[in-house]
Parts: sequence; structure tokens; C-alpha cells
Amino acid sequence: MRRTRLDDRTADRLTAGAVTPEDAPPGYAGVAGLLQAARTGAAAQELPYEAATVASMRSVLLGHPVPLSTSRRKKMISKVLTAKAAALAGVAVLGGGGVAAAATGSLPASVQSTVSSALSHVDISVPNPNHHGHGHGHGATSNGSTNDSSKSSTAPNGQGLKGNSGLCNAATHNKDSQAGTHSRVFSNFSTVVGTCTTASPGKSNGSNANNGGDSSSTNGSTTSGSTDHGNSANHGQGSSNSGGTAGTSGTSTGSGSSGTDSGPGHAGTTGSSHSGGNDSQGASASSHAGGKG
Amino acid sequence: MPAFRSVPDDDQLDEALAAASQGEEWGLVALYRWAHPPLVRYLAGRAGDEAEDLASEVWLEASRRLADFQGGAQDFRRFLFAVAHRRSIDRLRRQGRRRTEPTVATALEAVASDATVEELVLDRISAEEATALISALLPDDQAEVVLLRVVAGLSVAEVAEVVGRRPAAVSVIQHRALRRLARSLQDSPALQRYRS
Repeated sequence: MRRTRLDDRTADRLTAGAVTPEDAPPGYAGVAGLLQAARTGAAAQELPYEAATVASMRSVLLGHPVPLSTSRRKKMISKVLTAKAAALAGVAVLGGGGVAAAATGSLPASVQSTVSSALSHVDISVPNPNHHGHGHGHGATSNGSTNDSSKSSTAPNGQGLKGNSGLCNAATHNKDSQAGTHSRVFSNFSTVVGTCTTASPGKSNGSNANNGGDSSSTNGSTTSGSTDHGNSANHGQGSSNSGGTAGTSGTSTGSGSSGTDSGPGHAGTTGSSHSGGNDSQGASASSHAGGKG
Repeated sequence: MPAFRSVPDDDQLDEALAAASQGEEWGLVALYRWAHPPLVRYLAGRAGDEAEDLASEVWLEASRRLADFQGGAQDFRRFLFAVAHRRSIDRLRRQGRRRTEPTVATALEAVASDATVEELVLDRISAEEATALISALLPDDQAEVVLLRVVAGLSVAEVAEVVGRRPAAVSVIQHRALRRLARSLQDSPALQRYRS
């Protein structure tokens, strides 16, 4: 079909999606259909990562950590369990007082960071991308008011178990909080994942800083970790985030991005962690690394 | 105030923006649901599989400036895509490539063997596939302009501002892009080339 020469107005109307294939100039019906298809709007419904992204944005705007609302938290847990745990042969469970999250760390980096922070409020530990890089944490800011904190902070860590640390931590929390009453899923956990129960703390070489810390020291009071996420965002430095699994923190240096702006997962992410399962109230280790991103 | 259940109008979006700048959740949710889908589609056309990751970065950068943002929701949309434009360029430069080919292949896998692309476009094509096709069939500068015009819904003047060109130059690029799209959509060899 011979194409007509487009005038400016028709070209503008085409790219504005105002021309249907039927009304398009000769030769441009396909273009009109293509552009209209590309312009198709989405319904006003909840989107993937919405809860985490909005929570991150609120944290940035308000200058302090913003946990997910209860309803959103439930949705997020559901999504995390559905999307991630299903991929691990159903090794995800809300069992007894312990909550398992099988997040594999594959959410968008900045969202993953917030998910990690938000879920920590409900005693779920998932990988935090801000801890990637050189996991040199030595537990300098591990906190706990009782000796139980050391128990919760000595999570069995995988040898390079990127993606499985959430399960490892969840399994440990379940173990700590329900001694002798492991759920069936966790009893099968080592069969599926295997390595995390045999790894030594501090040997993970920084694949996930949640694993890298030798967080043996405990302080009697809560100590905050990094409070300066904004700097890392603006200067392309790795972020130092004390959040994540209870008892781990320190000098984790994430892999920052070059450029003038922040790399993945910097702004608005706040480290906050609770140790132990729901039943291990004594292990009240918590470190809130607030700060405006 | 709850998030809008349908596509909000400009006044509602301005209201949502004002609330969002105060950190109110409903405002942020409304903005997100309004602007995120086209943002991801635009970034998918620019950076392929990393679109969602880049989009989250864009939102976080936007949130840092939201408290001091001057303007209405449409201004915010332009600002958002300007950030996305820079982010996609940074990302592609770091990775030393221009576009993600797997996205193109994925979009064109759905093309029937005996149909022209034009027939397929007129028949059925998703927004994601359309975006991928635009990116596949056009040179980088033309794809950028078309995506900002079509997916982001920006005017020629706004696109010019985002990409740092004059409006007249953007219009020329737009014309070329449309001609090229028309030619590509009618030519089976183009389809065969991308299919292989």
C-alpha cells in the first residue's frame, strides 16, 4: 500500500494515540494500531512492588522508617511467599509462632531492600541487597537486652547462599522460637537447601551481609547503625545499612553505582531488624538504622 | 482519602501529588498507580528486563525531591520520565549496550509465521509487545522519542526538554520514526530479520 506523506498535525495525532487504524492515512494503519496498543493504560489496581515502593518513598519523605500497614504487610507476605517460596518446592510456611519467608532476593534491588526492612518487623528475614558486597560485619552493633540475643544473632549462615539466607534465617528463627517443635517444612529444610545448616558464621564472604557478620558481641541497649543512606545515594557509594538479620551489621559496604545518583536500593531503605521468632521475646535485639535516603 | 478506583483526572492527581509530598500513603499510591505502568513500559523499551528495577530507582529518586516539588501532576509525570530517561542512559552506558535483545525476541516470538507484522498489530498485540516492537524496529533516538510521546504521553515540547533537543528536532525525529515504522510493519523481510 502506498503511503501518504504525513503532515505535522497528523504525525502528532498519531503519536498522541488520537488516530485509529481505520482513520489512519494510507499505509499507516499498522502504525496507528501499534501506537495505540503501546499507549494502553493500566487499571487503577494494586501493582507489583507497590507496597514496598510506597513504603520506601514514605520513609524518604518522612525521614524515618515506615513499616507497611497491616493489610499491605499481609499482602506482601503473601506475594513473597507465592512468588518466591513456590519456586523452592513449597518450602515456605507460616508455621506455629515462626514465620518463614522464602524470599530469594530477586525483587528489584531497591524494593528488595524495603521488603527486607518491612518484613523484619514481622520477624521475617529476607536478603537485603544493601548488604551485598564485602560483608565485613563483625557484629559491632549487635544488640540485645538478654543473652538470648546471641542465640538469635548466630544464625546459621550459608556458604555463599545467596537467595537462601532468608530461608536459613527463617528456619533458625523457627528453631529458636520453637525448640523441639520444628515444623515439618523446616524439618525438610535442610534436605532441600542443605548447606546453610553446615556453614560457619562469617564465612560467607559477603555474598549477603546478613550472613557475613560475626555478631557475637551484644550491647545492653539498642544501638543504631548507619544513619546516612543519603550520602551513599548521592555519591554513588555503597550503602552501609545496619538492618537486616538481627545481630548482623557493621561495616558492610554494598556495591554502589557510578553516576551522580543513587544506585539500586539506596534511598529510603532503612535497616531495621528484630531477632527471633514471635515467641522469642527475650531476644529483643533490634537495630533501627533510620535516616533519610 | 483512599486511592482512586478509576483513572483520576488532573485535579485529583494534583490533590494526590500534594498529599504525596506530605508523605501521605494514599497520595503516593495514587501517583504510583497512575504513572508506574507507563514508566515500566518505557523503561522496558529502553532497558528490557531491568525495567522494574530501574523504575523502583526512579521512584525513590522522585520521592527525594517530592517534598519540594513545584508544579502539578503532569509536571511531575514529565519530571518522572526525565529521571527515567537519565537512568536508562546511565544503565545502558554502564552495561555497554543499547537495548536488550531478548525483549525483542520475546515480543516477536508471538508473531504468526504467515502474517505480516501489520496484520498482527491490527489483530492483537499487548502494550508490552507493542513497546518492544517499537524499540526493535526503530533506531535508538527514534525509539526514545516515540516511547516518550506514546507511552509517557508527553508533548513534543516536553520530549524535547527531556531528551535535551529542540522541539523542531524532535518533530523531525518523530516523522522519521513514523515513516520507518510504517515501512517496517509492511515489509515482511523486516519481520523475517527479527524473527531469525
